[in-house]
Amino acid sequence: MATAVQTKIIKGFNAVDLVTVAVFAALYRAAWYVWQIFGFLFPFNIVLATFFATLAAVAAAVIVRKVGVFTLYAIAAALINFFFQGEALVASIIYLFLGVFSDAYLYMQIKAGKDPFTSFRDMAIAGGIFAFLWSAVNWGYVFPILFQMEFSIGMLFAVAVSCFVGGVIGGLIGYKLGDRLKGLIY
Amino acid sequence: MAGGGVTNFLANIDRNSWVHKLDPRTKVAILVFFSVFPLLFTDYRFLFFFFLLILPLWLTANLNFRPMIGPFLGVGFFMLILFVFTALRTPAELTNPAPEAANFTWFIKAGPIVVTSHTFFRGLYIAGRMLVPLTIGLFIIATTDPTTLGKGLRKLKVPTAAVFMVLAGLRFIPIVTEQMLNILDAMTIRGVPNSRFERTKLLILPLFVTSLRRTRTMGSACEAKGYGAQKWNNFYQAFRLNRADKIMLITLLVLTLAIIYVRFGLGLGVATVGWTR
Repeated sequence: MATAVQTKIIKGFNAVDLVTVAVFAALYRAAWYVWQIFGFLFPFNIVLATFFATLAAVAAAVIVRKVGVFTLYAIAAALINFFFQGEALVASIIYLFLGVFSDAYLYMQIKAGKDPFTSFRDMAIAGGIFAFLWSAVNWGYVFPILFQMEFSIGMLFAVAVSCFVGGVIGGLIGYKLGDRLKGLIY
Repeated sequence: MAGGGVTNFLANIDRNSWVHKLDPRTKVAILVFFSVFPLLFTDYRFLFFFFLLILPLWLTANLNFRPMIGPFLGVGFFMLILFVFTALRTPAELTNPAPEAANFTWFIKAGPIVVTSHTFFRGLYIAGRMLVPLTIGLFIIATTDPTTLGKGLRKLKVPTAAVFMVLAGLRFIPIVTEQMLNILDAMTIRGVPNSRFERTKLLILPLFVTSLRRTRTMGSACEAKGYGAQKWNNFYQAFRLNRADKIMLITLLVLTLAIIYVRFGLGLGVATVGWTR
């Protein structure tokens, strides 16, 4: 039993999995135009960015169902963003690690004998962790320090919380979407 | 306009210029250089230096800029946001006790919004500082075939999975956008109401499903061709650094050392006008 659990946790990704993760990263990139339309709401239009990022990440996780999906998604999204949209290299390097803690949570759940990819609660928590890190990195470092944008502490906190909430909602919808897509694409 | 820009961002890769012929590893070095070093400076003269450095690359790369209007507009819009958020302040700025902020030569007050010479130029520096780092990626992707770029990344020991995902994602961005436009056209033909919310709601599921079905076809094709069965360390295409590559790499190395010395050895490059940190 222990051997079977260990095998499941360390399962590798095949080409179908990698392309699925990549297309979700590309869909997130395509959704960039949506929050650009709402640029007049800046910085609160970034809530949409966090919403779509977490939605795509959780949906990819529900479809691929392997530990490491969040990390791969973050890597694909960061690299596609860097080459296609243009992004500061330092920010892109930080974005590469955004999915690690979500995958760590999924790893712990699988090690405990659960299947987190079919659990709404577990995917909501994993998505929440992802959204938290996304918001913390963007509003704790990227915008105020790297881009040198001046925000009051209150504004930074409000935007970060809004983005986190938006991300959590995106994760919840992402689970529903992924669950529905699973049945339609197989 | 944005859709056309997205689907045609690869329109320049078949053109002929010395930039197109550079080894992808050299282009990655250019990418890293221009993504990192402009961010070390806040003095407009040093930022202008980076702009002067990259301008010849853009002008001699034999590019058709029309397909790139969409991405340029996106970068320009973000820079505008940076400028606006820095330049537009509240009336409290007029009595800001910080010495740099107090040294303004003119100001404009329109109700609750104030712009001083200090905030205006600082806004230009903040926005201009991002011009080169945010556009260098576009320059590289416009002059490099994605497959060649992927091979170059593999040569630099980037994991195959990461390279594969980037290439797959890049290939799918124009496909996903075209799918989206096709679905929207189909909605129009079938008489779906023009409400943006209604259209978006009806768009999401078909877009995801059609995109994912194509990914599974592509992934299955890769699996059928033995993807992952062996390590890919050999390449049919020979990668050799030619003279232009070597000159470019040596130039980048010299510039790197000079920039580090100027910035950290001599302490130059920090804006003297209105910089508070």
